Amino acid sequence: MRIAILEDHTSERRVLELFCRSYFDERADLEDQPTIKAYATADEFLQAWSQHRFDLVLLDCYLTDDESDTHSLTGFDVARSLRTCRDDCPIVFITSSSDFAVLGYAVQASGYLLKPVNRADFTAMMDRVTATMAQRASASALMPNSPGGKASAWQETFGSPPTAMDRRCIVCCLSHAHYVEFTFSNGSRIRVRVNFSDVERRLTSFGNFYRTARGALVNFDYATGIDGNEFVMRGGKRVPITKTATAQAGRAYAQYMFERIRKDR
Amino acid sequence: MFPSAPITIPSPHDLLFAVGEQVNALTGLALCLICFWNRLSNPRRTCGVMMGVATIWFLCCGIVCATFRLPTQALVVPTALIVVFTLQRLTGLTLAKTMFACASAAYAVAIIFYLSLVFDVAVLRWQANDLRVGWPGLISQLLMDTLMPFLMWYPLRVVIPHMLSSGMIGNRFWNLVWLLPFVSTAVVTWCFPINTTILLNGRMLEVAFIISIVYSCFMVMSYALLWLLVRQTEQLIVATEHEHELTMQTMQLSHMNDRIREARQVRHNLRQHIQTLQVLADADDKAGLKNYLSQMSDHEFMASGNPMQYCEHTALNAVLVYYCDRARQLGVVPDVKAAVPADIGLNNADLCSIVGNLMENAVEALQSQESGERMLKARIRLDEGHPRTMFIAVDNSYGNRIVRKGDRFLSTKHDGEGLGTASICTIAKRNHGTAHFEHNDGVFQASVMVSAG
Repeated sequence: MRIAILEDHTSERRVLELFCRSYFDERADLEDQPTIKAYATADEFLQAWSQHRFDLVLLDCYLTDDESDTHSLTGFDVARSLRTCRDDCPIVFITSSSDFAVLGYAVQASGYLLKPVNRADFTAMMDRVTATMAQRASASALMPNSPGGKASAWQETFGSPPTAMDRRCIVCCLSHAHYVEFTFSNGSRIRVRVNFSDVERRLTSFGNFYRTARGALVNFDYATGIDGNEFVMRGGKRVPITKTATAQAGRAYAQYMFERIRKDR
Repeated sequence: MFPSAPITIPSPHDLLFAVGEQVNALTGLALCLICFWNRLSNPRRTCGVMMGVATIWFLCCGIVCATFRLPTQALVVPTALIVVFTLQRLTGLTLAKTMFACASAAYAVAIIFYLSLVFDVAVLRWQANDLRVGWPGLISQLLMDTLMPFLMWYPLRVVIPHMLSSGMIGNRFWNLVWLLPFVSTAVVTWCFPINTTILLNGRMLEVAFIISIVYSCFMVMSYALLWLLVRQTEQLIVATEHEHELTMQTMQLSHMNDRIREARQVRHNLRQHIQTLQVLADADDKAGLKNYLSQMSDHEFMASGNPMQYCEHTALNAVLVYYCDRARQLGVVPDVKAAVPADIGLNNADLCSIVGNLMENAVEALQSQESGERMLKARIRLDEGHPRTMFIAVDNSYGNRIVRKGDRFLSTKHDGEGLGTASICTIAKRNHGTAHFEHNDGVFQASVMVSAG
């Protein structure tokens, strides 16, 4: 795990670094101890980020005390850059006032810490963030079969021979003869010999999967919208919608999106 | 009214005229279908089926009328009732609205039939058939039946459908206005001559003709007045909405100015505090400094104020700040989050109007809620997908009774739809979006989705 701290004040940067190390030293349950990097300026951070992304970022809201300096990047600008480049790592803002903390919603921030940061607040925030990180989809969509072992809650196994996969990574499923082609969030695809109706029955029991046409299933979590008679998925893939059911598909997608944003904390 | 006669096998001549008269009723049905065309789920198929069935039905009616020597209206009137109820089911309109449209068509065909009878007697004089048109009457009737759909095209396709779908006209209006064409049709039907003698007596023929024309002109003027009334009401409502929006914007700007004044005051106070600290520092008064700093940390100046920024979109932010502050004044802690950048491909006025109306409705509901926990939650997110879409969800608790009419809500302040929800629906539709409202368990949920370029 790689953690980045971006804070212009040296003393506060050191405190955050200390809290981080102390927190993870006490968490023996974690498989790997994190690498913690601290940066004083946005440019340094972005340069390091361009080489290797981080798993968690702690960002100061205002990276300068000079109120007249309107050109330097703020923590929000940095967060926006990350999201624009499709980096969805958890971001925690460090701020001296909660007045602007609500802006964190715009960049899907995991939360904020008020300065001066105390250990109790820091620990509570980190507990929440690490719990969320544990639920994130795995980088590899395909999961090793574990016969006799406890399967992950996200694991679905299809076909013969059985192929286990993380359903959070499934973008869409398309039927081809006796096969179903699964497209994943990392761009990879596999073809599994399985009955499409079996795939449809099992996946549509989860609220985010929807059958758009005969032999076509989409994951709403990866849909970016509807264009004409097609769902446009992240990455540009288009999935057809039955012509007479376009309005219905649009309503189902809208309903799902509204349920999701209502759950946003 | 209906002379009893023995059953006779009608001659082809009688059959032709009896069936020919039924064509008038078929025209009436055609006029109704033209009016309801956009309200039918599959208009081509529905109209085709109805006209086909009606053709066979009226053909049979013609044969029955000829066989039993019954007047045309003996079977047309009961058929008309069946048509009204069938169209009401197909269109989903209220009975009053359906009656208004159908009675308008019925009046047109009744006046055609009346004029045909009068014309027939005027040409044939004593050779005219009682209760049945002859050649002159039939030809004139068929001509008028052919012309009527073209003459009435604009009222049937534009005026009446617009009135029927206008949510601004309350039910009380419809419950009364359908009587105008209905009573007029009843009067014309009642005035049908039962025999030739009445019409040829004195100047009755001229009187009948003039009265029918004058009364029809009166009907046309009445409809024109109704149409003007509806248009002016809509213009008034649009003007009221604009005024409402301007008032909201004025209040929001005034509120923003208050906040700016507050911020200026805080800055002024800060200068005072720093000057005092400077004096204490210059005097090397550490105890005084510590004491003063301790007092400052407890001062309300240090307390977190209400958020002044919810998103980067300036206009939307002003709306949210204003309504969140109003909610706080009611003792409600609003849970409002918005992810909207400064520039979006959506008209600012439209966005602020949607959110402003939603928040205003929410705050008014909280204001009138007398019991139970009060809550206000809003989530606004711009989805940078394809196409870009703005999702707006506002949930609030409520205490008043909510009266719903389909997808719309009736106003708690006047007869007719609520202006706020109607405005939201109109703006959403204009921006290729949808607005959906539902309420249960004391929570009102508004979900609006609009395209953002």
